[in-house]
Amino acid sequence: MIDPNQFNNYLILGYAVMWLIIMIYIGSLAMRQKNLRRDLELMEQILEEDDHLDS
Amino acid sequence: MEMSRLNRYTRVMNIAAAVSLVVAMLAIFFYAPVEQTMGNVQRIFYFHVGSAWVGSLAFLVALIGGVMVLLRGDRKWDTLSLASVEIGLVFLSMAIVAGSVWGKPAWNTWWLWSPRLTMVAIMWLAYAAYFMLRGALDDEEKRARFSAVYVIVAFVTVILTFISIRILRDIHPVMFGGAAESAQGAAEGLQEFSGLDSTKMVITLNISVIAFTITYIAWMLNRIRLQRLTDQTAVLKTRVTAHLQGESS
Amino acid sequence: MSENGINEAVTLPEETSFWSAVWTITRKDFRIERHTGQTVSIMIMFSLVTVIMFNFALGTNLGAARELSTGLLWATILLAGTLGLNRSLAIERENQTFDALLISPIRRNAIYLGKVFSISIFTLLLELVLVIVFVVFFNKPFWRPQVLFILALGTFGYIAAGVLITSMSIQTRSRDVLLPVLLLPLSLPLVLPAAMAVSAYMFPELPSWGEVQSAVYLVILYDLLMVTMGLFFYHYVVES
Repeated sequence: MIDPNQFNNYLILGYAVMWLIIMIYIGSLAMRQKNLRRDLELMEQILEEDDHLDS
Repeated sequence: MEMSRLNRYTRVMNIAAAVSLVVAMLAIFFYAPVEQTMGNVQRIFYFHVGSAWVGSLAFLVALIGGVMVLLRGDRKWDTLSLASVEIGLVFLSMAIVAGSVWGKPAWNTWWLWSPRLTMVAIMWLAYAAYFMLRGALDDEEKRARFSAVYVIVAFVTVILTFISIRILRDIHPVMFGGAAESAQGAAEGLQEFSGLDSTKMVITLNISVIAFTITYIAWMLNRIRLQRLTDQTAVLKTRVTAHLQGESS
Repeated sequence: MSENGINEAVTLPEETSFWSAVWTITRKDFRIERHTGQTVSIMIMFSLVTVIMFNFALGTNLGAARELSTGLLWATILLAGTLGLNRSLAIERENQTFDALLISPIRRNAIYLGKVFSISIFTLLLELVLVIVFVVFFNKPFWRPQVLFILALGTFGYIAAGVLITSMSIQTRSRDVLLPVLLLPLSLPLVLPAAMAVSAYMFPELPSWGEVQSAVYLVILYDLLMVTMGLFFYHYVVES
């Protein structure tokens, strides 16, 4: 019977990398969303100011 | 579905996903028993199989999206397809990495040109290429149409590859791995559910699959919302450009 | 009513049967190639260069090179094939013969099939040259008729997939460069059985039919699936 804890570092490595991928993707989603929201705000601002200038 | 409803569902699913993943981790490390032949490292199996399953589901959904784009031409199917391929690729990457890390102690190699792994490598390449195709097309409508055709052909290719390899392996086992073949066969046996030697393992596996499915749905909602924002931004950009050009004339 | 391409006129009466339309397209491509000779010669040069480069990479280890020769043959065909596909379909776009074809009453499918046949034949011409080169360099019986048959069978399927994919890739910003990225992964289910079948014939004794039949059937399956998908999806990828 082999030692059940023999390859534990692989176990940890495996889960660490999987969670890293999960985190990276969630981070990517969050960052893209933040950037888009900011862009949207910016442009809505520009359009508002423009309307102000026109009127 | 309007934005506020989408936002609400997304928030709910995000929480559900986080909770279910935590539950899955607990089950994997505290509920599942120690496996006989390999010990604790076998626990990678739960996330590995879970993500592989859900990744395949994602590509199937992407296929459906592609078919619907060609049939109906409605933009929202293209968004569904795009989101599903992206998320599917993430799950597939997780599965590949997990499998590789598990493979090292199990077969003493990080990679093996076994039937399943060859198919998975091609799968990854084909779906990654999907984004190269999209990236090189500016016309929205053309992009949706071409992506749909490609996603369908890619799916058929993956199925064919799987069939191909399975059939050929029976005839030419030497061509596909040689010495490590039997170890890999045993490992694949583990990967098929027949290898599970206790109900606790089955339950843990089911919990993992459910957790990943919930995560898939949550990520889909997030990605679809992201696409909506992208589209809104694009529309606004053209308006802003028009405004600014109007100013300067 | 004639369209102007490279001084090629494609004239068809209103009612044209499907197969004669296909044949007209194929013949037009042959005529263009005979005048310009761009496609096949580029494919041949590219292949020779590739094979020689590989030989250098494999060094003086002749044994290793011979082991890999079947795989190398198929890899060269796949790569050279992308050249032929890009060239042949780009020529259409350059000279606006393509738009003219689309206006004509030929059904899209006939165009697709016509191109598949013409480019397949160009690739087969390349393969004839390659077979000779490989027999000389690697001293293996690639000249066997069964090998030639498998090469032809596989080529047809590959080009069938290729014409569909190339029609998309040349409409992108990346054009030529994108094709290998898209097409090569999709060619795997063809290459595996095809290479296996060919390598079965590389030994002094011929293999029995039973040994190769699965592989050959898989190649045929690939051919049928790709041509079917091509015929089905082609009109979605060309502009109306």
